[in-house]
Amino acid sequence: MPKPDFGFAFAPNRALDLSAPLLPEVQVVLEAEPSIRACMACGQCAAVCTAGAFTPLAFYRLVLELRGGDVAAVGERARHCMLCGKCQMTCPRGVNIRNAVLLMAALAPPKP
Amino acid sequence: MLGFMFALVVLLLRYLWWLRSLWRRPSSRLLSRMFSKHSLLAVREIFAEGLLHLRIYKRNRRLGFMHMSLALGWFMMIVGGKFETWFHSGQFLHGTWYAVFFRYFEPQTAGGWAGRFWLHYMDLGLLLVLTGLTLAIMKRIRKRILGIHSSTRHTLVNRVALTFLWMIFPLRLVAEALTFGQHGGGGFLTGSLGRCCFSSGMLAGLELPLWWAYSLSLGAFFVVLPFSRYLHIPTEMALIFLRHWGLRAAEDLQPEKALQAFEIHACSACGLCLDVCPAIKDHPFQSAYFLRALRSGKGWESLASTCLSCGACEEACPINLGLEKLRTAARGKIHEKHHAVYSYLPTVAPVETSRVDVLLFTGCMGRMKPATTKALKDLFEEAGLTWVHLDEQESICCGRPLALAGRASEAGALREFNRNLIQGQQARMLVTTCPICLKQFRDDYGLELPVYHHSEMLWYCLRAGRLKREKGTACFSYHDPCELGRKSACYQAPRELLQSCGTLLPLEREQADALCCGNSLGALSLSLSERQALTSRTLKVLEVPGAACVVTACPLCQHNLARQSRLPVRDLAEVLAVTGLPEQHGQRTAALAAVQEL
Amino acid sequence: MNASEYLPNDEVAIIGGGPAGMQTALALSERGFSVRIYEQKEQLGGHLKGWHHLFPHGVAASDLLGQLKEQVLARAVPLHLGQSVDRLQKVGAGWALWQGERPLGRAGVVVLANGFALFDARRKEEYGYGLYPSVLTAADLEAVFRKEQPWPFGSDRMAPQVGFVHCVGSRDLKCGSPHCSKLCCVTAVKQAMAVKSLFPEAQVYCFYMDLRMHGLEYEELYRKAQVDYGVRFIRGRLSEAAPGQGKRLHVKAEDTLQGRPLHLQLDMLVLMSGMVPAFLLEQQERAVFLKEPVFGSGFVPVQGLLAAGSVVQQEGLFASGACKGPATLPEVFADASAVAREVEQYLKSLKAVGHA
Repeated sequence: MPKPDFGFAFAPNRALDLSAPLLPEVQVVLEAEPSIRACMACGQCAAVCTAGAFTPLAFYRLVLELRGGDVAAVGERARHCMLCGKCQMTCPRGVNIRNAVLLMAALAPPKP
Repeated sequence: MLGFMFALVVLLLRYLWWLRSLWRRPSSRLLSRMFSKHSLLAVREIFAEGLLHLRIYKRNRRLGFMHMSLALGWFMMIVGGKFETWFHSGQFLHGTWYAVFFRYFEPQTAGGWAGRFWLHYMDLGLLLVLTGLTLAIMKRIRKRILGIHSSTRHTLVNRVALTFLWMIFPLRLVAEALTFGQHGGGGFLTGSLGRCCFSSGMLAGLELPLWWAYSLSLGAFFVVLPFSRYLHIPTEMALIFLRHWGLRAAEDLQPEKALQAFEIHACSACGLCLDVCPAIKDHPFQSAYFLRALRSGKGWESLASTCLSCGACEEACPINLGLEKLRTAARGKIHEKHHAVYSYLPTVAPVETSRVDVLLFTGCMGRMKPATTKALKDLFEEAGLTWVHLDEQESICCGRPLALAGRASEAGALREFNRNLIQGQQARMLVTTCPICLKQFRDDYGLELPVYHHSEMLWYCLRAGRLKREKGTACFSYHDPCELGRKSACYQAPRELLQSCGTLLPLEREQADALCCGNSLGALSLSLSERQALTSRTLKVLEVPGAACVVTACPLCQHNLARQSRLPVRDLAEVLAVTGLPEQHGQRTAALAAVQEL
Repeated sequence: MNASEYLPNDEVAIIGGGPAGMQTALALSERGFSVRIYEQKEQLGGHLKGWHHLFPHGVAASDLLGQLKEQVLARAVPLHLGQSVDRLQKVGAGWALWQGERPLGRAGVVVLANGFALFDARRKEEYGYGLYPSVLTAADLEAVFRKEQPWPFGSDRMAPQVGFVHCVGSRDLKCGSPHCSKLCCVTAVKQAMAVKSLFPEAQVYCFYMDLRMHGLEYEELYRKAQVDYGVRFIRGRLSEAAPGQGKRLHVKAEDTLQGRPLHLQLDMLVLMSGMVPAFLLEQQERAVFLKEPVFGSGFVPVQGLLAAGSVVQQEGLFASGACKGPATLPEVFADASAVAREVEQYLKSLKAVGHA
């Protein structure tokens, strides 16, 4: 049944459209580093994150946001990473987090 | 001869293209060095390495001899041929072809003992080359004869060049022998061969064709030279000069420019980097293949991205190519769109502390290895040193992981923060438990404070009598971390410390030959299972019979090895804190511990 | 058949005297086979000896163990205690059992029931097990419940802060244990409730990745823990444990549901160490070796769903219980009956072919 269209909306719909296909830039990142798909958002990366003590950087959330299509935000946030590698060392699923972060950081809009 | 001219022209054009950046702003240092002793040093190195291949010889005698005999033998023949023609004809200058085909033109040369000397000298050169050639052929058939396990797989062009090269000298031997056989005379090799095999009149017709074959082979080789691995012959010489003149490789990847271009093309694909690579059985990212990919411009990304950057290949390279630098430049290029933003870092408030002996920096890994930090602090107590643990609560990364990923230019803010943190304190030295931090602090930070790895500092304490240890019965095997061993040349301190309290067992591969633990910060896209396979291989070497414990001096190595190892894996500090304690001290520590339990 | 080939074909040797071994012995004995148990320790019971109360109903482990032992003794099953079999040599259609160079006996069929080991929590140095006295494993906590070990915090502490960390050495590729150990989640909930009943003022937190409450009444236990006992469940992982205020531990964690980091001071941290293989089964032409496990070596491999007790590549070798993979006690008991049935079928088929 088609969504009823009242001709107006109270507020933009917060819901993410899961039926929408992944953005091409997201596909590129996932194909360049397939181990990202193994992330189960356990949070180990965020727990040990060196930068996480100072700024809200959490790799598992970057993965979720990447799939959600919020590419610019992912890119901006990924720039905060120091690439220290603690997350990659403790990740129980063996995600190549550093490589993933480098690829994600490339999604940020270029600096002026 | 045409071949030779062709090669010369191509070479000159290429070299000038590579050096083009220098014409625009000639460095004064470069110019001054060109006319100084540095040029003489360069010539010496060319002799030592280009001809005699001393570095290869030190690593592997048979291989060294093989390369040396080919190079030196040919060089002897070229120079000798020049002198010989000069001697016989009285003229120094001839067309280049005259000396090469001298035998054909003047088969019967007298000239007494000097003439005979030249004949035998030339034959000696030829014999040398042919010995080398035989070894090279044997190497292709059974590598083990030359003591190596892997040799470079060559491209088609290289195989063609190789074929022409290999044909040159046997053809010369036969041509000369035939000429001498027909006309008499000749040296100990060619003459005797000629007399016994080629004196028949029926073979006279073969003389000219053989010399043509020799000529064509030589010409073809020169034509192919600038496009094959044999480009390394002139390029290596040019590289040695440029290096001695102070030219340094760029930080970012420019494979067709300046020193990088020369480095990439000076690789002879000799294959020494293959055997030492920890991943030789699983991955083709060894330097020889990486440089080849850079030359062709294709496929270098994945080779740079999977390499561990353990430094073994750079250690083994006989012409000292800056391989690590090239690789990090390559990685930086792959991720050139990555930029880092560290504006969230707090400003460091100057902290007033009293003067201490040691500033301890445990780095990102510090809190993952509490046993190491605790042991080290116990050792500081024992040695009577005062200390401040700079990053006990939080730490900012030293910046080297960024550098190893090729993004060193982005680490500025991290460096600033840590430098302010360190310089805000008063201390005699900075001690770190992580070799990665060590290298960064030493090479990039420009600190006034001396920087030591905890193994170096503990050894100093041992030598100075601040720590006393007695040799006990414990047996260890020690894993040399890549960043401490090959990259910082610190092999002795950890060994001395372990020998002071127990027995250190010898390993199949250690010190500069040690295998990487697998937890490299250089490899970006190597998968977990691939890393674990490398770790297993390293552990096989470390788990020697008799070892009770594997000891290492790097938190990343320890973390990685401990997960897969059968034996316990401990840091040097942990081991030293509890092993070999002199009798009364041990009791005192035990008593203290007992009191603390209450 | 000559003397050296003589094989007591109807005899079954069971390696392991824990719940799996005992129950398999009983099941086979009831079917009329002659069984023997080889147990490496001096007592029967395996890991069951160390537990306090069992989930989900709180049955005392010692009661259960007592019942099993009684039944085993009642059926006069010969027990070989203190004997650790490390090699099985194929002899005819049966086996000879060895401990090093010492022959331990022969049997027509061997059933491996030697259970599991617990992940060595010292390998996760960041949690500080072995370094800080207030860090325990779940097995240690059971010993504390049984009053065999003291509480790591002073007896004066009335309201201890306790944390449980799930998945220590399970679901972890880095540790070579990709599997889920199945029972740690329900054990943690059970232990959390036990701590709360002993110290009603305590604050208890369970740090989990997923709560796997798969068995009968497990989910109800989870709800009870939250509502009746006030246990707090936090989905996320711990980073490191460091010395905190006084003798406490300072612990940092990520709360993935809230999306923010947490930190807290704990009096006790309990690590739910996973179940890992106790030995490596090395199979050769006519011999099977039980060796020290190596990184990534799995549990005992069995044929498949319909022959889940039969070890691959071997005739006459079966495996029962947790040596095949993590299993709860009810599963182990059910498995014992299933394996007994398979052993019976196998021995019948041998007779039919005329080997006996």
